[in-house]
Amino acid sequence: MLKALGIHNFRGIKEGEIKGLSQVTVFIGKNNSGKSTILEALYLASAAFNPEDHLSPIVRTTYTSKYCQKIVYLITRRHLENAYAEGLWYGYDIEKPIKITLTFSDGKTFSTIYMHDHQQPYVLMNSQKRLFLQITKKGIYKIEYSDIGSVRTAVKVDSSILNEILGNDYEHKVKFLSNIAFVDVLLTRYFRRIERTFWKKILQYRLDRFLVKLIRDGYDVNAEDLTYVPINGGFQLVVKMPTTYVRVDDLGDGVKFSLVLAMIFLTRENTLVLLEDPECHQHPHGLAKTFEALMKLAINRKLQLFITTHSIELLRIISHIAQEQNLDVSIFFLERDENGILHSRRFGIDELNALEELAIDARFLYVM
Amino acid sequence: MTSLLQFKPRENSFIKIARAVDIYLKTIILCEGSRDAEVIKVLCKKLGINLRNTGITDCGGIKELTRIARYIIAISRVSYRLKTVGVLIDTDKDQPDKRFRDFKNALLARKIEITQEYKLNNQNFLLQVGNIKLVVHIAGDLSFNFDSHSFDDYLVKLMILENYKINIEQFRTAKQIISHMQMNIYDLIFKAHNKNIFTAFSKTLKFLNTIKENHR
Repeated sequence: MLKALGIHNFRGIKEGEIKGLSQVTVFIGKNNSGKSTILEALYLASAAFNPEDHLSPIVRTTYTSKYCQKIVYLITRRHLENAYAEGLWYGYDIEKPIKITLTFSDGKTFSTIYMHDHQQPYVLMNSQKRLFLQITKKGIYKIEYSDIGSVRTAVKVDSSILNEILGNDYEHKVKFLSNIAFVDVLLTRYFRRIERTFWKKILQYRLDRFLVKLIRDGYDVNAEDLTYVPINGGFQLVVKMPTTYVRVDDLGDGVKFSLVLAMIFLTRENTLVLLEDPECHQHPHGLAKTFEALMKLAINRKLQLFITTHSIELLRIISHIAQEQNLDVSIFFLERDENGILHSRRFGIDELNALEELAIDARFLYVM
Repeated sequence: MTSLLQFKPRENSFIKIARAVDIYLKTIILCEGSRDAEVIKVLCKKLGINLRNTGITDCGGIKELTRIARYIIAISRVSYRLKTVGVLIDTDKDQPDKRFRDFKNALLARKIEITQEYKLNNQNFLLQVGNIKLVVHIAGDLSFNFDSHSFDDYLVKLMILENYKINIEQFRTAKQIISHMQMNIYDLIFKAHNKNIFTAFSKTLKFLNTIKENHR
């Protein structure tokens, strides 16, 4: 599990350090305070271990051939038009490296560096050498980039190097970082991609029953089953109801986002899940039932969650479920000053509840 | 911000803060009950006490000192800009000194480090907790022969000074008198003579003045 995060020269954050991360860490704060940047920083760091992410909804751009998938997503996710890579650098100062430092719960700390002319970030070794990695089914490989375009070769990495950087359990840590999922509301627009990626596994273990229950309990859809129906010469996923069916595509955005979240949680294990504003499109009932399910999955599947939110309802829901499930939760109120320095105030469920009892809204902590 | 920001009811403070352009608090006053908070607000208005950048809230009538300590810890942990927290605690059935000692012990039991301590008078105390000054007022008028003493004692004192007809012996607490009289607190204070207010609320005014001094 990650315990601390340092960010240098990334997006709007010139410098920032967040200590005391928990299994569930929630970031709150005004707009432009750096919440999404923190999620993106974790995603960027993960690109040093696995540059590919088949989940990310990449729109084909001029950057697609130049950078790895995760970097392209970071460049384009905020700007579908006029995206530019320099926007990743604080003050567009591409001469300085972006540096993300991560600390695990065993105290092992390492940094990933991203330079403007690189396809992916690298892990900084003690000897100041650069280590570009890629994890495959066969193991962890070191990538050697050629000087020409995107030509690269991969060679099996010497385990002693990873041991030096990450410790004995490096394999676990590399998987933990590389399998990261970045879930934002954009994913609901790419539902088919999520469905294609996960459906086989979901059906194989009959996890579809979990999804049916979630639709029924959270969204009052009288769902009996999920199945495929031939439509327009192809097959589409539909929800079976007692007298009819409805295409998943035709469900409300809140239900679809909940299904996306559930599919990702059901198929990930021992990794990080980054949730950006998961309250989007959600009625409090659907939000509560979705998070009740997700937080149980997070415990069972050892997922470390990083959540940004503007919703006091979501904070209350998380706080309530965390108390029931005895789950460790940290809340950070973020502020970013005009010099790009990130300031954070950390508190837990007990403090949140105390503030609630005093009618002090945690989202307004900037006043005090 | 020139007037006290009252956090309760939540809906009002939400709109006020959400719509404000430049709002920040240097002080929060923590009262036991909603009436105490209301009285403080009216007192400030009547006497022209300008507690700029101050918020006020209440513990919903809860008298447990451990609970109040929990609130203070939460406030001190999450705040960056607060300089002072004012705490208004009813004397209850104890003496003010004993009540203050118990409150201090409740803080210490929660591992709060108190670096300085001053006794301002027999009912007002000042504690330094980290970067925050804690101004503590143990409320109640001990000249009354009530079963327990509270902030409401001051209101009863004011009624007597304002020549309201009250048969005090019939009642065991000031709260019972106020309920019985069905008094509009706002009218009582606003129609009262200032000198009577100064007499009835002398200890509270010392508390508010200490908070004001710490604003500078």
